[in-house]
Amino acid sequence: MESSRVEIAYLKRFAKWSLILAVLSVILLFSMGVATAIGPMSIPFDKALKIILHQIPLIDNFVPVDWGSLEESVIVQLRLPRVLSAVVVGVALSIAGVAFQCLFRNPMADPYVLGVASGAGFGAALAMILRLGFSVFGAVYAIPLMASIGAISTVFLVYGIARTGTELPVLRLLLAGIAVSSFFSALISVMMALAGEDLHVVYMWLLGGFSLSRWEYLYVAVPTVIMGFIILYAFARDFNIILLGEEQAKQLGVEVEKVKKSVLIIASIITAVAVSISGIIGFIGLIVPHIMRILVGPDHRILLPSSALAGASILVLCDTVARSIIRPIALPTGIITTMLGCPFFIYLLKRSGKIRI
Amino acid sequence: MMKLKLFRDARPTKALGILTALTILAGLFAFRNAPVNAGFPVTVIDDLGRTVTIPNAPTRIVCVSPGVTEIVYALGLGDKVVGVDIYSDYPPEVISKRRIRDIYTPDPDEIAALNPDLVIIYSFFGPGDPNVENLERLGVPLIVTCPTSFDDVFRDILLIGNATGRRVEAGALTNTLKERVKRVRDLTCNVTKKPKVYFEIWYPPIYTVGPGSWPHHLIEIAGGINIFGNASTSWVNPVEEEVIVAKPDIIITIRGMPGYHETLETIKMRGAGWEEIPAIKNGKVYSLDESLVGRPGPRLVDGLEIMAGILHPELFNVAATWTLDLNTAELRFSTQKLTLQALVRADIEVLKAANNGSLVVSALLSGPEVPKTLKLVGKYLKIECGVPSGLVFTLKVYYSKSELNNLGVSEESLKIYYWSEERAEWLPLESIVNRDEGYVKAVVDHLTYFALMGEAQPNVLETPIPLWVVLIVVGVLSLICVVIYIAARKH
Repeated sequence: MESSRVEIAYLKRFAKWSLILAVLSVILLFSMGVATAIGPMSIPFDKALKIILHQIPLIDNFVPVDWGSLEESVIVQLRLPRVLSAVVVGVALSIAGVAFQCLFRNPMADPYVLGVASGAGFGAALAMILRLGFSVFGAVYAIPLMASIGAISTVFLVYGIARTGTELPVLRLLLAGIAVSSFFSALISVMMALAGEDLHVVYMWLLGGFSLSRWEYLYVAVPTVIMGFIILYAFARDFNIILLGEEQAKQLGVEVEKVKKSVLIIASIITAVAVSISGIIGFIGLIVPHIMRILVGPDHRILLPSSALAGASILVLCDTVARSIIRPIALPTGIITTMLGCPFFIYLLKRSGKIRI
Repeated sequence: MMKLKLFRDARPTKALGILTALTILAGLFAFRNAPVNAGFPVTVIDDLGRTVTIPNAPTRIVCVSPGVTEIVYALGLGDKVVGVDIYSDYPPEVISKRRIRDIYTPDPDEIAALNPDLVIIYSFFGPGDPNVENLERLGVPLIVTCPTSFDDVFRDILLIGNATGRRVEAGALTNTLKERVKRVRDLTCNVTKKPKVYFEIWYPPIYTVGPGSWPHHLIEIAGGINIFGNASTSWVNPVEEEVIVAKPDIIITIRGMPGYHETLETIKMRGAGWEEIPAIKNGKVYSLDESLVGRPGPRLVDGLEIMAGILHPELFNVAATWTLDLNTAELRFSTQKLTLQALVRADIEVLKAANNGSLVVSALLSGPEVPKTLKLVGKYLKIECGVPSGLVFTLKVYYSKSELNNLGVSEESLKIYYWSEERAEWLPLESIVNRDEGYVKAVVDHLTYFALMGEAQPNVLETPIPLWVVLIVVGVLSLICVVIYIAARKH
């Protein structure tokens, strides 16, 4: 009797979660479709879909070719990498946000809390100002490469500063993150003042956007983010327990320090990858976890995947708005995420009354 | 006593003498100063509608904008300039002047240190520019320019001319410039097919120009359509697809921006639909010097003429012509000189001529094909004469170092080449390079096409700092991490 009731509750929950994920997946696919079909060149939705299907091995033979090579290269070389980049960055920032908010037990935490953003910005500015390795990699690769190097170095720096013996106190991490982040921001400002006009690209880049997307970036980013997601998901139950407090978690047999270290590193690497593709996109990593917590509840087993899907959809849609709202000017995507996201978040905040972690 | 008396008598005479001499001297000084200070104090109204009174003819001018610097130099006031901004690089003489570091918010202290008696700035912000109030506190006459059209540039030239006592020169300069602009307008007003132009300032990501920018103005007047002419800002950063969909007939990239150098080859390599653009298919990719298309000064007209030549080569191959009437009588005792200033800077000095007649010099935008190993510096010159026999002249063509840098041409290899009709190839003339003044000189005794060319240097890597520096930076950063890690561990 008792066990069957548990079983029913479990099944109910399973059904509910499946439904949530299914709905979110449909929303994501729909957003991706819309984003791919919208652009300066008018390509009908069905044609865009056929072009995409044509790219997939095995299916390609069943799709008759009735489009020009220009349409194909616009869809395949320009729009798809952009949409997929938005998906990857959306997923990365959202799950990193969930992980950081949980570990710090702080609703203000976001993926950039450990100084990843300014570290990456510093790397990019350095690459730009010194033309580092432009001849070896080309400008297109040198900036993202230096940005991710900067981001990851910063995380290790913060980690090293905050660490006391084997412990990694949360408060120290936050403060070290703020200190290092401000320091690098100041360095970026100094470089901008020194270099003047040369750095408008870095400035654009700091605003965040997808105008530089290309397939080559995705080859690195997609596997990293997928791996990151799998590892973070493996910690989902530990996250739930850590929310009770570190002491309780320890008593319940969670190796808090170990979890903390692994998750910090993984989440920071994911963030670094996202930053190297798109620059610094605000709001997504901070507020998507909150929105999803309000909508699906605080259980990380559903919170992580649903945040990933929702973050990706929101970013894809925001990017579509950014590049098509005042053509021919493409706005930086980060502006749109903040402008559209914040009112929605405020609405949810007012309605739900209080905010939980 | 006698002596004393003599002295006494002499005194008034002597005093009178000295007085007379002084009067004459003073008169001489007054006479010398008269034309310089005539008309001063002068009151002018600048572009922001401010009334500015200049008490004396300025002798210490500070120019805070490359466009202003070029106007002031074009009025022959180069020796009165005591400071320019860091972006001013033309004419090459400005290199010796003191520099103002910030052009957006000029530092009053820096300007005051030069002790100027006239400051001319360009306002990026228009009316209400906070810089104006800041600089007015210096108590030095301040002229603010804020041009947005060709007419504004001409008005500014007159304004600066009035303020500096160069009214006549300014009038002559604006008239010539107006005529040149009018010539372009007249020729392009009836063109039926306007090419679509994509003007690129940066990639990646794309930066291009919209209405309100100088390149946009030039494209419009030169008879083209800016594909981003419908944008709402003067700087536009569209997605790449916008360019591909717009199918531009001509692509113009900017030259002289550090870190940006795009050519037909590099644009082709972008892939993703770029190779489908008509301009790329037809090889119509050009680059224009940043200083010719973005500075509201006299050379903007050069930029316009070159732009017109690119957009409508059928109408504009001859960009400018000059004529010199040869006079054999005069040549017996001296030489005759012709100075070319627009588009090409060159001097022609005729040494000998057998007959009277006229020497016609044209600057051409295209000419016989230049061999692959050489690069053209500036324009082609075609020199013609009704009766060319016995004609000998020296040809002096000026170049700028930045131009050579942009083209990747070494200074030593510069030579004036002539087009040999019989052999159908360019042949070098015995040329002397004057590196200090930046010209190449040769003696010519027959007439054809001439051009300044140099050997293309092997492409120098754009990176002043190579990969090993990246590795060192990464190494140092990781070392810091390790040190901190170990230090933290010991605690």
